[in-house]
Amino acid sequence: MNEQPKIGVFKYSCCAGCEFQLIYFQKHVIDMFEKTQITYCRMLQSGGHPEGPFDVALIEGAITEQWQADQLNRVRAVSRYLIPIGSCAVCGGVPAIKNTTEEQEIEKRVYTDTSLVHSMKTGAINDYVKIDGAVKGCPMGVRDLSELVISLLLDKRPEFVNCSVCVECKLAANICVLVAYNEPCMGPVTNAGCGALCPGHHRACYGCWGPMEDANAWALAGQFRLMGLTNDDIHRKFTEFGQPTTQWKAGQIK
Amino acid sequence: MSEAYLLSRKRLPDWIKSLAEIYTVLGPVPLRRGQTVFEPIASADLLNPNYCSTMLSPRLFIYPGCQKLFTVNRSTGQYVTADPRTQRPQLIFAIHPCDMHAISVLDRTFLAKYEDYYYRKRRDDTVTIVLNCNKACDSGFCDSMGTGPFLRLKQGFDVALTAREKDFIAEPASENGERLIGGRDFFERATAADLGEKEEIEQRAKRSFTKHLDTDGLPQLLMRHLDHTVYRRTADSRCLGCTNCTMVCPTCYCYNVQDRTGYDLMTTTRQRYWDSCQELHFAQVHGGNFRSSREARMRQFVTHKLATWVEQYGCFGCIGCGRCMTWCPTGIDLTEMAKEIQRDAAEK
Repeated sequence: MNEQPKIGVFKYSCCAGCEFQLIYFQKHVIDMFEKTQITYCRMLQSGGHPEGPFDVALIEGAITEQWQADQLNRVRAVSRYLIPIGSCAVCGGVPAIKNTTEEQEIEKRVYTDTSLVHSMKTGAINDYVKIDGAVKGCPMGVRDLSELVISLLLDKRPEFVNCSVCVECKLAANICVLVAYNEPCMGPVTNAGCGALCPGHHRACYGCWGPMEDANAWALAGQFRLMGLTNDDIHRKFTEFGQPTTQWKAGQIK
Repeated sequence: MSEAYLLSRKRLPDWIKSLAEIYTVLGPVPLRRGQTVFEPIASADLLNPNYCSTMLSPRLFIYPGCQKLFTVNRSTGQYVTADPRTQRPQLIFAIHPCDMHAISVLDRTFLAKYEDYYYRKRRDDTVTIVLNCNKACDSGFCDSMGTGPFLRLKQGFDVALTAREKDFIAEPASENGERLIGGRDFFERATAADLGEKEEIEQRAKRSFTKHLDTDGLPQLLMRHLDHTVYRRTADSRCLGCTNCTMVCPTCYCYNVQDRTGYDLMTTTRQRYWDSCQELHFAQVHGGNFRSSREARMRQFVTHKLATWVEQYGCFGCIGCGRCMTWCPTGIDLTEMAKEIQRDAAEK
């Protein structure tokens, strides 16, 4: 690629942690800013060119309002690649917990005057537009982000981490917290990439990276039941991250 | 057969100390809440020779989970092969017979016609001292697989130990093994009576097994019943596809390679890490995935370990350590699956 690739960053409903990760926390901030051109990123600079075109559009946050969906469609049309970053964009994340309660009720709980709220059921980015990959994580993983940017620079297909957290646990030689210590660990159905952070500290994984492909949520929910968890507990585990996903649907039975 | 020796339990720390002068000694060390891991030890204080089993087998010292293979640089054209060796030669102490057998099974893969450079270096740098099991472990069935409770290998290891109440019977099996014992005054010659007692201990250990698998004609039987319903049922209701079974299996050898390029876009490092046939993308090739269902992947695991391995390498791929069922979050037991197929075939 002769010219520097143009990157646009769009934020919808989320905590903005992924954008922070991109411009502040990650290890390769300077490398990335030298090699690419960020033409639109509200947290980085005012102005910019939201109209595009972009070589890659990074989308942060879940879709909870109609204007977001409309803008997303426009961004898709002017972007070569569109990549959701972080759990909210990839699988609904925390904003999607509200899908488990009736919309009006949840609005009333937060706002005294709900006439200004135009919120709808939370959806992930790929519920609205075609995506070309995903940088998972909460916040998004640095390894996958670097892989994405370097692949863009080399014009090759990125290889994202796509196995269960169990793999990273075993590579790190962590004793399995589910089997050995009877902790309700979401690791077996969660996408890896975090380096098995929680099990590495003897804590159960709570699934913040969202579902792995082909996860068997039903079987893990059954195991949790055998371990003594109530149906409500199990429901909460599978809706904390990734409520709208098909992979974890089977674990969301109340 | 070469000589056998006796080592008093009281002198074990002296032996470990003298071994630690030459080697990085890796021994079973107790961890929190009843777990044991193989870790470098400097003295015998931490050692737990009565351990049952570990989550990861000592294969990881010879075939690590993640290994750097080489680095290339596009601007200089430089190619540097990674050195797989550890700083000091390593000694695995008190490895159980099943895990020793597992390493010999891995040897058949990595050191056959096409030798794996990285494995060869590590294997040559590793000394193994086997400790025979006096008692069956909870989910082990090594007796059925012919890999335990006492070591049945004749070579490929250095010393075999058998624990008695007050001492260990040590039998060197290689020149290196002789060197580890020779010249050390705390070893005494074992008598025929000692070896007779060893036989007795072995018979007693054999009787302590509660888990058995009849391997007679098993490979042919499994291959005749590839569409048995047990695979579908287990895969749907219990298999999580988490790959734990293959990650802890001491004979699993599959790996994936990955190239990582730095932000300079010039240096690329290739590394390999354990891959698993239970993972969805394992069988992804151009044009499709030939094991896209969990059922197909589970059948692959069971039939490879208990059937097709025999054809491929002349031995079972399962050494009966029971790790896959112990560390499966839902406790899937491959012997139960094999037994169900055996029962159904017998009824027909």
